[in-house]
Amino acid sequence: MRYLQVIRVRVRNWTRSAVVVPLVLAALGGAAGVIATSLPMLARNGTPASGFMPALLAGFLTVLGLAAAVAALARRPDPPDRAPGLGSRDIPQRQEVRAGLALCLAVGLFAALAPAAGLLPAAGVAAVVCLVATEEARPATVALGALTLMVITALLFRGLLGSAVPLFGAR
Amino acid sequence: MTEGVALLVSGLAQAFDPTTLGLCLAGVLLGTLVGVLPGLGPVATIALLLPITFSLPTAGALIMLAGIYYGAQYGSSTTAILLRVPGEASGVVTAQEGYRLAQAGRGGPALGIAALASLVGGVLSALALAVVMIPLARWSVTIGPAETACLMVLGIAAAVALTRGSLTANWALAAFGALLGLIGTDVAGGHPRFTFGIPELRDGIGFIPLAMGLFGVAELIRALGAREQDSPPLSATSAWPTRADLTSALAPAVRGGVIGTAVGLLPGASTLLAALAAQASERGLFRRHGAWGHGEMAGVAAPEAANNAAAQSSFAPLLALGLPANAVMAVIAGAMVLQGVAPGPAVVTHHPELIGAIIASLLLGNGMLVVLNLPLVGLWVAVLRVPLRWLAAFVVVVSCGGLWISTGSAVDLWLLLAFSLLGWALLRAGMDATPVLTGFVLAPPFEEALRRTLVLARGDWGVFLESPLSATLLVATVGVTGIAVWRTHWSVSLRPSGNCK
Repeated sequence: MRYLQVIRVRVRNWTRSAVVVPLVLAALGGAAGVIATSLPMLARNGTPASGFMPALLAGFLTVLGLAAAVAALARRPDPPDRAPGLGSRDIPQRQEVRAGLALCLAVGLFAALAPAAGLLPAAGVAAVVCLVATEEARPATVALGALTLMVITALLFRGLLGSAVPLFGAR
Repeated sequence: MTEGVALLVSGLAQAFDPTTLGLCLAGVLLGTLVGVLPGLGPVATIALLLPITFSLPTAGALIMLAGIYYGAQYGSSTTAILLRVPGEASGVVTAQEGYRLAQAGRGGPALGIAALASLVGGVLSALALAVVMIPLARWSVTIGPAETACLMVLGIAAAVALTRGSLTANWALAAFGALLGLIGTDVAGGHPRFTFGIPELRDGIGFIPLAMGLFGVAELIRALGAREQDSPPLSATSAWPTRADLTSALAPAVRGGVIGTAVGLLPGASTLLAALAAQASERGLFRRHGAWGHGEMAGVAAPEAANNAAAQSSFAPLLALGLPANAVMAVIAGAMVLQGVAPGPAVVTHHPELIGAIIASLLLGNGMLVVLNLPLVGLWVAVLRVPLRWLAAFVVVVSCGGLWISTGSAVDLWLLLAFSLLGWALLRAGMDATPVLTGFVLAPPFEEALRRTLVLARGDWGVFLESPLSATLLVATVGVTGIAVWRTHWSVSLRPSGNCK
């Protein structure tokens, strides 16, 4: 129980990502290993077949991912500057989360819109989302910025590079 | 030696082509801009620009990408000296003495010395490349698949060992990257691997979404998340150093250039390592002289010459051996593959004109950097004041647009999203994505070399220890890993205990 509590406390603080990411990698390694077992491992002459390298790497990834997670848990974290929610470290972290969500959302929206609506609507929506990635964005500036980027996109890809990709509508 | 001169002469003829000159100029200008902007490094920029290089000729595309790399080393020195904000890791070393000089009102001469030292380092490195490249490639074609496989393992081990962070985590990331590299139809066996019935994955994962997501978008997130730097005051002083400055900086620049060239040739080495080695040697040699810690011109000249020389000489392992020495070279290796030129000894033997053009462009590009950048210092500082979210919006929209028009596949855009999330997660975990890229690039040729070796040896794994070279390479791999383990243990044992206040 005490060990569980230690793990819980350490996982809560800033080392959480350093533990979770290797665990996710280990899980991916395990999944890849399961898939790789359905492939042939060795050819008739004893040489590696299609499944050999993937299985080997998946095994490495699982073991190393688990080892890295355990090592991250074992490391003593630096004490936080202040209590959670009040510390100076919170502001950059909040900004980073906002920026990360905005940029990833922009890429996702571009991926969803470009095949169906064309290059310019996708570029415009992605630009709007990127421009609100920080807190100081104002609606008029965002609209102007998105329009400017749509014009630049059209000029760059159609004018300069001569791409035949449709500006509006499905490809 | 004669071959090297011939290579350089033929390269110069190509490099003076107006289109190539224009691309070289664009590369060094863009690289300087990237170096000036903290947060958006050359790896991210080169990764983001890959789609645009599709339509360019091979030599021009590679020259432009190379220009971005060494231009970034120069640009980093500008902000490192004036603002103590290095745009690139290697700029940290320059900032130590350079910022002291700027505080003492000698920022202009320090910038001038940085530019001229970069030129010295760049020229030395380019000449060394011309001499070394052909013998290195000739030697490398004599080695068999067993040695090739061992060389690749050494390359991965060196990249893992020299990447910051936990060694175990770095090896896990390299294994993950290698698994990503194996996605697609196995050429030898014909079996689809990890394609999940998606037709677009049969040819494997694209290098561009991987590099753009892990480095480009992730770096933008990091930069946007960080607090914006306050706009510092800048006094425009003369960039021209005095005769005494030039005299005191010449020898450190030459020594830094030699050290940087040597360090850059090592697989896995970085420009930061070269700059640190050059600075350490200067301090070790001349500790009692000069004004170390109070603004010493040699403390600017040596690391600047070294980082520029290392940035350029790291092309040798890539072009002659097919081993990307660092993340930038891994991205450039991807660019070469996209252009239909596989990095390795075949490039030197089958495309010597390409090698010559790249080496000659290094000479021209360094000259351009000096001539163009000294008057542009004020402009670069003005660019620093552009809000980063505008830059981020521009980069994301242009990158997604470039990826969309170049591949025409929404799958690549979704992969970009997935790798952006992964890059962000690695950033949060304090892990460097370089091993992922190294594993991704080296896994397919390693698998091929392994298979060829075992087919020729009829499945006998002992063949890797029979050849002296492959055995040496394996010992070197163990040695590199052992040193990395020892270094990690050493640094941990030196760290003060958490209970000490």
